[in-house]
Amino acid sequence: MNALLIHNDNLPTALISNFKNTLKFNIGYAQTLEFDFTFDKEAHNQLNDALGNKSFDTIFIPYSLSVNNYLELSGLRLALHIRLTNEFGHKNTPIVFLGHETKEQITKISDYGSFLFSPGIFNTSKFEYHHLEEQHNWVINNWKENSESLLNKREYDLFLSRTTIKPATSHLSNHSLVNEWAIYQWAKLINSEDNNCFHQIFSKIDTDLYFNYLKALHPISRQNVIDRKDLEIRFSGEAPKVLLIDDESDKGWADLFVDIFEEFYFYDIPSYDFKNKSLNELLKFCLNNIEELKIDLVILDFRLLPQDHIVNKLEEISSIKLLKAIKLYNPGIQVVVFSATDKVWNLNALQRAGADGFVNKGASIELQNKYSVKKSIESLVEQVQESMSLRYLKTIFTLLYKIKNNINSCEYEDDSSFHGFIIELKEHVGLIEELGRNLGKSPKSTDFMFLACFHFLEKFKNQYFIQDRRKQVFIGLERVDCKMYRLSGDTITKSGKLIDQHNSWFNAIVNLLVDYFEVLPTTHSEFRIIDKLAKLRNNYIHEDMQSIESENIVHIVELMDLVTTKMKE
Amino acid sequence: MTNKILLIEDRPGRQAQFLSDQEIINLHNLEFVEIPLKDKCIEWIVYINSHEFENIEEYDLIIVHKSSLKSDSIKSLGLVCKKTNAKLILFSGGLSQVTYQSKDFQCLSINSSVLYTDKLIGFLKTYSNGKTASLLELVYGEKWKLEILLRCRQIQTRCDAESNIELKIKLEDELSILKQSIENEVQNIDNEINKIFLSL
Repeated sequence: MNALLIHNDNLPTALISNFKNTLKFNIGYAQTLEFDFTFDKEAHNQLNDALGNKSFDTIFIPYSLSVNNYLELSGLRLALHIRLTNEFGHKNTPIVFLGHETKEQITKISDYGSFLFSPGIFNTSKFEYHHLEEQHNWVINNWKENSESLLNKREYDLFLSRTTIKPATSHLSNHSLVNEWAIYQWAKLINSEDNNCFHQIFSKIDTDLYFNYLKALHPISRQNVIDRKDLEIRFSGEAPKVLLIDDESDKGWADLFVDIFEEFYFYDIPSYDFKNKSLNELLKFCLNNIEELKIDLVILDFRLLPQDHIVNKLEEISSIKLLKAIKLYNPGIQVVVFSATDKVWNLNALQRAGADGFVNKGASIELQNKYSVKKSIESLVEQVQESMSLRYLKTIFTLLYKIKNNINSCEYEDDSSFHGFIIELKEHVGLIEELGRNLGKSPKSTDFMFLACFHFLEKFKNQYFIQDRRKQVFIGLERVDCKMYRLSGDTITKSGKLIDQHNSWFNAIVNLLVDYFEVLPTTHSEFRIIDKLAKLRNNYIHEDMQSIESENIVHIVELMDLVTTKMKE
Repeated sequence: MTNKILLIEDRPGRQAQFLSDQEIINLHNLEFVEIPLKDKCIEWIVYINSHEFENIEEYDLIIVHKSSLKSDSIKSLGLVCKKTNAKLILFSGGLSQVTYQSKDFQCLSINSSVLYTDKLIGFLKTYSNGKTASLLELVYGEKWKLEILLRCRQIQTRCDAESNIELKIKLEDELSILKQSIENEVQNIDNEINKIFLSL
């Protein structure tokens, strides 16, 4: 008969010697004591040698292949490997189990008992060769009406629906499993599977029983592969700087991101020993990196430290602490959380802590459908694209901190009018900061921000310019003459003192910058921008109310910085 | 005489994943079990990874997190266990199947979740008193006797069908030793097995 008998010299010798095709499946001390030994890898390799490029019509296996521990029921696990591994070429071959036990009894002592009740699975308690030959003939000719002995698609799907294979139950190893499975799918879907970086993961996915089960449940077809054009992320100016903070970055995520963010400066922290660091060490290390590398976008994993798996309060999770610290350092740095968690309470906590986006690495394995990872990849591209449109916020907040420092370093006499002005400016910057935190969150947010900044500068006009009885305008305590300035090309021209005329916003700001604070020469191109900002505000108030673009927010905050740099009474 | 046990766990947080606070306290209070913590634990790992086994030879059972050791150190530790007839339990989060060997010395490879269960403390107590026959008692508890009976039946089947006298005698000896380990007369293996299955 064209059947294969798998054994470990644990069956009658006469039975083994009568079979033409046999596989002696043995795991010895040498294998067990290997550092990277897993039963599944060993099973895969031995089965591949026995089944690859061959075609058996039936496979006989005893329930147990161990001569030291019958309850290992390793024959059952081997049979599942055969059912679930494409490359063996025997996924649909009938399997006959040998053992005195009934299927019901095996079900009581194995997690895989339901597999025994799926199509194409038989058992016998007879150990003579001629009995197995009879069983073989019956399986080949009679188990199905049309004399086709292999499982058809409906029968195979029935097997899949009746069988459940659980992953290892440790939190940490489960965390790794979710990562590895997600990386495998991401690499497949962005067509990076030939990248050598993924060799180790692909090798594990191909040999591990649980992964082969997932592959059978969620196959990835060619038509689901994402076009490279759809992965392109647009940005203006210098290439953005992205930092991946993930304890699994060296497992393959960094390699995937290098592929996706090929036009970006991409950084990760592969050598950081997350497993043996305290929360404070982690926060300090990450913030130093963000500051030194001038990071625009952080891609942040949810659980970074081992204690994150056992903390009682969500606020104690390392990523939430880190996220708050990043936003405290600069709320404009974009943070997209990239994690396997899909728990609503986790997402709420992350949102409260200031996350700008959330991308699920690969969803929960249990709830996964074949499109979810594709959606995750599309979502990542979409959210990074969104982050790039808000990249200017980092500059805004850097400038706002500088403006606060400028104001705080001003000298003044207590209870003077200038002291009141300083207090007013501080309050106004606080308001602008609040508006800054909402930029990008509503359609009018840039308009409100712009008007608040414009109003901040208008305060300078009200504070510094004084008209005497002869209607001549002076600037500040030093009573410097206010001039008439006109824009000519990129520079400005002066045409005498301002007398009995309306002091425009443009003229007031230029007078302060050139003549009073002396921070700009008259040849500077900044004047064109000042003029543009003045017109923009007038048009907005009096005419079209068209939305203010983000570059103009940067310009007006830069102007606020300039005006406050050398501020004096 | 009390059997001495060494448990090397380089990530104490893992115990908290599987055991309650009280169970962890009870585990660490066991007199005959050495569970080195922090620097002591690192010291032990360094000893093993440097192939310095003098201190380890006094232990009858060594339980160690497999991933904390270097590749060649695991093999060397195996050789030491073979020499001193110590038993070895390797645990790791990545092991999905129980693997057990007993020919040269008892060696059990299990997932961390199989080690840290409510059976652990009871097993260690029994082991220290010298009343444990097989490491499989840790994995299967009371079902361990079923394992012996199923193996007896498997050997009996081979024995009955065996025409080679020499091999037949060897199998009968094997069967006899195995039956002794469950310390009771088994009149009918099938009945005994069926009785246990019915109780499950």
